[in-house]
Amino acid sequence: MKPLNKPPRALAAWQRRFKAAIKGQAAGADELDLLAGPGPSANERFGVYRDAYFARLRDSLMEDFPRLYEAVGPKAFASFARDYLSLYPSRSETLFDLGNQVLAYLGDRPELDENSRLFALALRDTAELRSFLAPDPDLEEVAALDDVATFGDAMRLAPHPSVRIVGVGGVTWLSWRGPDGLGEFELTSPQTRLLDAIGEARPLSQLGLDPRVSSWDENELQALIAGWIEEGILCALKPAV
Amino acid sequence: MFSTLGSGVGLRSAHYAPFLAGSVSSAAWVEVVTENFLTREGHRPARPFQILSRVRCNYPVVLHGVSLSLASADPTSPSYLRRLRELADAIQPVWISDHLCWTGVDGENLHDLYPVPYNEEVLAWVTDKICRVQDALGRRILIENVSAYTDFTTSAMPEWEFVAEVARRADCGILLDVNNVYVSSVNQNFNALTYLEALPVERVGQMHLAGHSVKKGYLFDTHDAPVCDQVWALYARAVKRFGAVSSMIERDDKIPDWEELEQEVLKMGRIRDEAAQQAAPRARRLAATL
Repeated sequence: MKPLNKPPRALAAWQRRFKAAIKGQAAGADELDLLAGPGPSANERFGVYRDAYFARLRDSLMEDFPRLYEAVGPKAFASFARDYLSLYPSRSETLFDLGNQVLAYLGDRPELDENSRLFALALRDTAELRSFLAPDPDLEEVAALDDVATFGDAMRLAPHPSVRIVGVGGVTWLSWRGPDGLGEFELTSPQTRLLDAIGEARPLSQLGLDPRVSSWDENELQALIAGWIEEGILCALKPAV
Repeated sequence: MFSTLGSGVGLRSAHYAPFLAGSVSSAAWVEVVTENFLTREGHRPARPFQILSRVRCNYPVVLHGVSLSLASADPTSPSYLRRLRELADAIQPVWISDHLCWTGVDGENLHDLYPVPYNEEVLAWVTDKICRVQDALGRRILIENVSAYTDFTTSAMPEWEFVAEVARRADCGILLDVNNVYVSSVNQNFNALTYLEALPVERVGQMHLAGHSVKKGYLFDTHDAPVCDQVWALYARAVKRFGAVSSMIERDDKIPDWEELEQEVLKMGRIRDEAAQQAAPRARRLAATL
């Protein structure tokens, strides 16, 4: 490939000025060579870009961190977004990555009021986003609930690939993407141990022998597993060949 | 230069179900936002890619990027290009497109589509970048005109001249966003038909249609509303000039049920077919040979 032409120096300098003005790091748009036209002034026209930049990125963070947003309210969230974006400007091609450093940002601010509560909420928001992006199980492997009778104890159980578990402040939360959308609930200790025991693709025949589920009443356990399969928290998988 | 696919739509998560089921017949193809499917930190975004692969079994797919930043002073990221090529190899899109704009500089992405001053210096730089992208991808791409709220004193030519010349020099296609032409024509007070007349017929391979918001003193390209009457009229004029090229509806906000959006897709098809009957002979001939 031929050597890369150098970018026009004037273009690079102009784009830097434009960027600084968009981010509010420069006084105004006076040095952006804006052409006055009919209607709004040149500065008002530039304001469309400036306002859209912040609104888009703030809204993206709001969408990814709904619990955090709900807890602090629109004004404080906007202020957080401004500070966060100035410290962690996006270098990714996608907005999916915009909030990747929110936990680090909050972790660096132990002085914030209620910081640990906000951190916990952000952690749950992050888990939910990962649940959303996680794959569906391999459809070839999934068994229907009715198949349980056919396969019996050879059938395997596995958490749905979207299941994410986070422990915050002594509470364990499970988030997942079910047939009705995203969900989250607080896991009890026996439920947490049950999920540990299920692990990945565990045959039902082995599950009953695991000491982590020995305290469960058998009927209660069956009802719970059937319910979790129905809600998409667990996958019933066909027996391994 | 580019296949004629008929009516398409921008695939959004709200409408995954009918496209996964393959039950949509009003839209013959879908366009997806490239960046939602690229690998990141070595991993594919699992579920989006899984869904795209399944949809691809039922419909031709067009990859439409928002971060190639062709008019940025930054060189195109080799990592981005490599991952785009990988995605294209996996999905086999009908074609790949992006915008004639810049989205950031010095490695930072501002996630918006900004115009540039249209002058010879920028033209040479952008052309060079597009050629390199096409070399890396091993295929022609299409470049889309963006909506603009301002022009610059350092522009030496109108946007339509710049777009046409970039396409000619880089030997790439044009994705004509009819709504963007209309929005910019109102915001910058030019005749939208002048824009259409300036574009080379043989290079327009796809058209976008979308809605916008009317603000105090300007139009804002929001993709959150149905296509307005003025844009439908401009679309009919575009079809008369460029022929029945592949066209699609973009909706990114306030997304309605598929049944409602489908009515717009059907309307687009009716207007296109009607206008194509009156298309310039050259456009008809071109369409017939594709």
